[in-house]
Amino acid sequence: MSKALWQVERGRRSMLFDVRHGRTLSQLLFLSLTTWIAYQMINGVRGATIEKYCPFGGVETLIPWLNKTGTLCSLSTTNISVLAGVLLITFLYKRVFCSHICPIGSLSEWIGSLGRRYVIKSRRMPKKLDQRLMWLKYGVLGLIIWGTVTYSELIFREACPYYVLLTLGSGHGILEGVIGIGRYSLPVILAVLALGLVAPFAFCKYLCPFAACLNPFSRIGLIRIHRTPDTCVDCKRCDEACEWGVKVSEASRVTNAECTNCQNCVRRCPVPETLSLGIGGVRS
Amino acid sequence: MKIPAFLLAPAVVVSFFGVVFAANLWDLPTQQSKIAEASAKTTEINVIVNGLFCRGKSNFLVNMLSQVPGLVNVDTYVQEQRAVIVFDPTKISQIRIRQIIETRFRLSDGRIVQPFSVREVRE
Repeated sequence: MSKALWQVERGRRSMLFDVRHGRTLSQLLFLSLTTWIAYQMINGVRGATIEKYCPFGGVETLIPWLNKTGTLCSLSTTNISVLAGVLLITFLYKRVFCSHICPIGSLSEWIGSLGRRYVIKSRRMPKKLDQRLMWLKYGVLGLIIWGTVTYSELIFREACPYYVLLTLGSGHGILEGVIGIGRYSLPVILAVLALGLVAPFAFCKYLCPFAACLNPFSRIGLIRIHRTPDTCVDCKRCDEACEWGVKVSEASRVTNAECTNCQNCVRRCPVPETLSLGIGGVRS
Repeated sequence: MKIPAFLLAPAVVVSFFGVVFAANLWDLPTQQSKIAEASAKTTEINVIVNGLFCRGKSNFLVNMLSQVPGLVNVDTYVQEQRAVIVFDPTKISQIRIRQIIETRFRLSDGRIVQPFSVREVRE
């Protein structure tokens, strides 16, 4: 590394406030809140339900509600409002829901960090396979919407990591009675999340149906990463830092729908102000 | 236009709490059932019902109550396990409504079940 780059690197590391800290605090806040609500729910506290503010619940109940057949199961119009709000947040800040709010996103990230430190240090899924597997989540979303509308039941609940992990597999849904999936859902979900040790964000990238919902809004997200090509030293560290496979070094404005605005690329960039957060800009 | 990166996390947290606050303002009933025309004098009660945790249970409760003369309207909120019941006090009493909600049923295998129990009634 050149001397100039080394000095810049040292300067960045000595910063008292790292953007990562704000995001980690946000992740811990939402994880603690949901865990606390789940604890109350398991103990039968009235009104405590982790589903109340679940935006994906809004996706599941939106069609029945529009058809005037009412909301599904234990969902309500609150879920639809939260969904609208999260879509608006995604339109403003891209998929920050995944990197700042979602407890499963946080767990996946921390599992990935463990994997990077202790299991496989340089893991990279072959790009073509990675891109193809990402399409799976759209299929999962379609299947869930079809099943939910057809059976008027939350068919995904027994397979939803958020619900199953936070209730420690104690939730009961229709699938448990029909095909006995309920009793296996906790170990299966733990196994899928553990895949993150070798394939970072395996669930979020390939299977999460809510990520599929957010992507069209994330694509046009207003606040995005801006790259200044004039100062870029083309070291590709930003590409290495991105667990979602976004090629930051090839864009002047990151419009990729998978970008969660986690700022890992900004932190890893050795030249200050080359990567920054900005509003809008021309698509690249 | 550039934005300081450290502002993103606080902005996201504030936005999401704003969304949750706004969402709470628009919480429609899970089920709204008008059972009869309102008479001149009606009373509204909020009943906290243990066991009212999904739409199926809500349907069951509304069906139980809709067969009772004197009831005007039943709105259910399953996330709060709450039912708002409007009734004509000259035709039915609060105690009778409570008894109906807490009705026991005998299943085909002989077991007796009580789907709901009233935890609290507020006028």
